[in-house]
Amino acid sequence: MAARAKEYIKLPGRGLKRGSIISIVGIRARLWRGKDHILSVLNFGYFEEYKRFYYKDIQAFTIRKTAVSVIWSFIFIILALFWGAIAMTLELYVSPLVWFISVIFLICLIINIIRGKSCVTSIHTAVGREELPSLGRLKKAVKVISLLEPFIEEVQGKLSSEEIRHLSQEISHEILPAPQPRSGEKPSGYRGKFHKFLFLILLIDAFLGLVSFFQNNMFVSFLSLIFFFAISVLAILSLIKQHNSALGKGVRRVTWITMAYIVVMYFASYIYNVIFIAMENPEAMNNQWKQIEIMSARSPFDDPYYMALLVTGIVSSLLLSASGLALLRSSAGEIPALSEPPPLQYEDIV
Amino acid sequence: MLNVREMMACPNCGVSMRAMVFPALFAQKGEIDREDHILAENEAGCFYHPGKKAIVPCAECGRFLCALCDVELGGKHVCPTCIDSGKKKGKLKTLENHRTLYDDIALSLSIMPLLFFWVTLITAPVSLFFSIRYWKAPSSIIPRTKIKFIFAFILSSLQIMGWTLFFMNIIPELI
Repeated sequence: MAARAKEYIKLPGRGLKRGSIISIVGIRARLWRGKDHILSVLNFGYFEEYKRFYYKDIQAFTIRKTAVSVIWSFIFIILALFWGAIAMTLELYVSPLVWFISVIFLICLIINIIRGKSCVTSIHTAVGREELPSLGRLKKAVKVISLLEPFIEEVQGKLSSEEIRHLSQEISHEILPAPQPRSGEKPSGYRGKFHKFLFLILLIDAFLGLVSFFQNNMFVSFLSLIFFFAISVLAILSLIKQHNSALGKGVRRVTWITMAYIVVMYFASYIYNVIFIAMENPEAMNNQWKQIEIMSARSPFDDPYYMALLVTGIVSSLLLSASGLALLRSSAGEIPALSEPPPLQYEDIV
Repeated sequence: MLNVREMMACPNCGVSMRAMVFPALFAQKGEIDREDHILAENEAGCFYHPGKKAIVPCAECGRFLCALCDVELGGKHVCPTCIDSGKKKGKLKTLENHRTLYDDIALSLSIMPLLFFWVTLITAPVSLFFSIRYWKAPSSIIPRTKIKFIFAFILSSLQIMGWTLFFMNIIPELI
């Protein structure tokens, strides 16, 4: 057993193979270090699949930073706040259970933060590129690569810094992903006007949410509805406008997250309307105006679900608008102004 | 930007990334001398290509192999026939890319059906069968203990004992 145990040594990092999140058992991935190769193990639950990468064949490792960890943090914050808000308004004998759910999401958030930034790590050989799902976090990926480096260099030797500098220019186009063709178009001169409106209206929406906490009336409810509609339209317009623009990646991501938030809130509001308003007041089922009337008559302090919706909406709007405006401001200086074509000269026309 | 310790922006797309390259990236593949014919009378020929000079014997069957038939596998020189038969029989571990985890199956069969208690009447003997039948079967390539088999064996045995006691009490009452 001792001899067998020495054959492979476990490497840090574990993860799920991409695309397996909805599978029942999940495809768990791990890396093991062998005598002359790295063994990638994909565990499908009742069977395992192996891939061997021999030290002599490994050409490169690439690590690409992703926003997955930030998105997960955002989801965990929303869920923790959602359940926390419900727990605050519930009876004392029920609330500990709901608090527990909120705390679970909070723990998930802390674990996600501790695990660090997310990334995609790939191993390159002469026959192709393979993603290593177990190295999905930057800290672990860097650690594992530095662990493996001496073993690979023992077999292949070491590249001198001079060689790397000289050769990197020649091969950079082979190893790095090719630039994405933008259908031959030049970047538009869009500088984020719609984005600015979107994030400002999100900020106002958060303010309206705060107002409805203390002063919920027909006017505030109606205004919130109009603003939410405006946010939806602006989000779509921003997504169209940001295509092929020189806007920063961060702003683009926040816009996509805003769109996802809008979709989630639409669904949540619809479910709330159907279950808690229309079922209690069947006459309001097909009457939007009546629904607004009922909503404006409600207080978030009497209705835990309304409270949860409101708190989630306020926090999300604030987070999105603040991050969006900050990113827009920081990327504003980086967007090159469209150079005006030189005025036509008499000689050009003639 | 290659082989640096910190993340850098990709010159193509601007994504923050890091690349570690090794000499294999620049290595040219060695050409196999396919025209290496026997030059002298006393030189050994390849078993599969009698006209070609043998360079190494197969580590599995001992047949002489030419450069074309020689396959280096885990530090050994093996012929294509041995690779084929080794893969089929599971003899060559380095060629295996799939293994069934019988211990996980046995354990699942003894634990999961506990939620629907009546199902254990069937699953407990099946789990016991898996625990005994595949006790010596090759499990995962990576280090793994027999603890799951042991748990499966104990749990399924207890379930069978439970059912036996149940029927021992029920049957006399029915009669």
